[in-house]
Amino acid sequence: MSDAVLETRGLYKAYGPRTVISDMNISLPAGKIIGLLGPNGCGKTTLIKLAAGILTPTDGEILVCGRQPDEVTRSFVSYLPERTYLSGRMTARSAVDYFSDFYADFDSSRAHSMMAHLGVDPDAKLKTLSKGTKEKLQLILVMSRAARLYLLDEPIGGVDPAAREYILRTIISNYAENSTVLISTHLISDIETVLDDFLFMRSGGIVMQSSVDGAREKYGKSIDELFREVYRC
Amino acid sequence: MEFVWHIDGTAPLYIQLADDIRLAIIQGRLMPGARIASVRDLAFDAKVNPNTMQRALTELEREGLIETHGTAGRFVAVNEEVLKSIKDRVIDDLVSDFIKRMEALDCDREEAVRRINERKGEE
Amino acid sequence: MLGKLLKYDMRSMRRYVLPLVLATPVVAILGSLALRFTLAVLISEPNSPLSNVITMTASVFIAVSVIAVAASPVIAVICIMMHFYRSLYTDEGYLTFTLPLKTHQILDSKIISGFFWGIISSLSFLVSGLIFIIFGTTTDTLVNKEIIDTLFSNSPGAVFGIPTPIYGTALCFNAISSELFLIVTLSLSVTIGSIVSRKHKILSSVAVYYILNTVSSLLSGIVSFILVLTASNGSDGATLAYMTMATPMVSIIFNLGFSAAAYTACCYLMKNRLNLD
Repeated sequence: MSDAVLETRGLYKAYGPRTVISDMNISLPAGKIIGLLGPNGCGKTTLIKLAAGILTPTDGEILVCGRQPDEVTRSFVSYLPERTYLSGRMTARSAVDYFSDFYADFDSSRAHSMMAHLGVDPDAKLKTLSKGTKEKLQLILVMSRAARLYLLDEPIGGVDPAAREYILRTIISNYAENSTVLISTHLISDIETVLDDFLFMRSGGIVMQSSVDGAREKYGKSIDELFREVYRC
Repeated sequence: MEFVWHIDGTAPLYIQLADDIRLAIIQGRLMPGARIASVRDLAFDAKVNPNTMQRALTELEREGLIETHGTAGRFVAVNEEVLKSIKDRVIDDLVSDFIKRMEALDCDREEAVRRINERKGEE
Repeated sequence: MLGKLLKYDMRSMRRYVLPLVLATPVVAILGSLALRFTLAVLISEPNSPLSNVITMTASVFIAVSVIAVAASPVIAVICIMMHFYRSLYTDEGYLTFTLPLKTHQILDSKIISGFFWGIISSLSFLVSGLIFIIFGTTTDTLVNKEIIDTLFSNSPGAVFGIPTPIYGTALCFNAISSELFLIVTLSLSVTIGSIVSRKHKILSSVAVYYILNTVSSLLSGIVSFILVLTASNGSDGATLAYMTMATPMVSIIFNLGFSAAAYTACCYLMKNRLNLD
């Protein structure tokens, strides 16, 4: 338990009368790529934001490597939100410099070579780049850190299939044994081959947690098919 | 040397990946004694989790189809008997599967054999 | 870490404020030239139609330049607060709030750089005002010597019994503390506005600032009133001195106190009530 990278105990998050996460108790180990799966609006993004430290729990606890999210956890947690969070006036190069400045675990040569591979002009302003390129650039920045926990919120939604493949391959090739990647998505068939474990989330709680291979053996179906069954209206 | 990866939901991933690698070996696409790419590279190629690919390779090592030579890496076995016995096993499985499917269509073995012989020379 | 963020914040604000700071005195010089010209025309040919036309057009130009100079510190503060808002409460906030810094350090960086550039723009405004007064109000000499004498050489030794340097210093500190108060209160307003209203953050921020400003003015007015009551024992010299000195002093204390309270509230909200959408 104490070496869990992400842990929640009785986690509860509500906005006024609306409960988004209720009584969640999970423990995610190191060295795994884990899928946080569920339909839109079930609380996946909220859980990730709580882990990233930009939301605070209403009740209960969330711990990242045993600490409540603070400036120390932020130095080893790499977060990719669903949005473009870089200023349009920045260039790719200045974004790399910015990350390099603040994050000791950032590898700028790796970032630059991935960008070159993508054909991104390092000195072009970000607002001149296409949406797909910006998303890939953000992924490159996030994955160029040697973090202990990567939080990827819907990294492949709203992106064309070629970009999806690029993103999945980047995640795979970045895999390190002592780090954990938590990917939240509703596009399950694309991602399930990349996952070690998965969690099904619904209405603010976890309804299933298993390894991908274990579930395939047990139920004889892909996680995508299993998902459709579990979530059938 | 390119692998063809067949992944669907019917069985655990690592078993399907092992099947694909095994097929490449017994078909001769991967020669005896040939070096096998690293786990990371294979995982990257197949777009799967490296842990999953590792389990597939471990499975094949267990069968004796692949050998690890210390830090030099993984290589296809050169033992002819092992390769042959595995090829036989795969062929047997194919035959069993074929018979089962034909019987499900009310086609008994004689019928099946007859149809196979009729085919000779056509293609 | 704070130093690093400070570097970026100072740079971002500089982009907008520095051109403003440099342009304002230039506008003041141009306006002053127009003023000198108008005065010269008025003196030489008081009532001819030509001089009236010239005077009217020049007056418009002068008026515009005066308004521009007066508006420049306001525009500067708006630019400062736009950077504050954009880097914290739009999508860029996802980047800022996940930096490995304590929340209060993020706020500190914004307040320090906002305060710095606010002071710079106020100084620019002051310099521009002086340009108008000294440079624009004579026609035959380069600078208006009479005004310079009044301001600097022949200024009174004391104001109601308080030595002028001391009183001047008190006024300066008052201005500085007011600037701090302005920046911190605006920061709190933008923070509250962004939290209470998801769709109309800027509008709410303005409304909150209006409310906070009214409340603080009210409070400060009450304090001043109490001050007057405690000292209304006639209009002898000591009382006048006390009143003269007390006014800026109380204002300084009030500004600092309210700033501290607003800073604390802002930190708390940023840490515990943040809800980036």
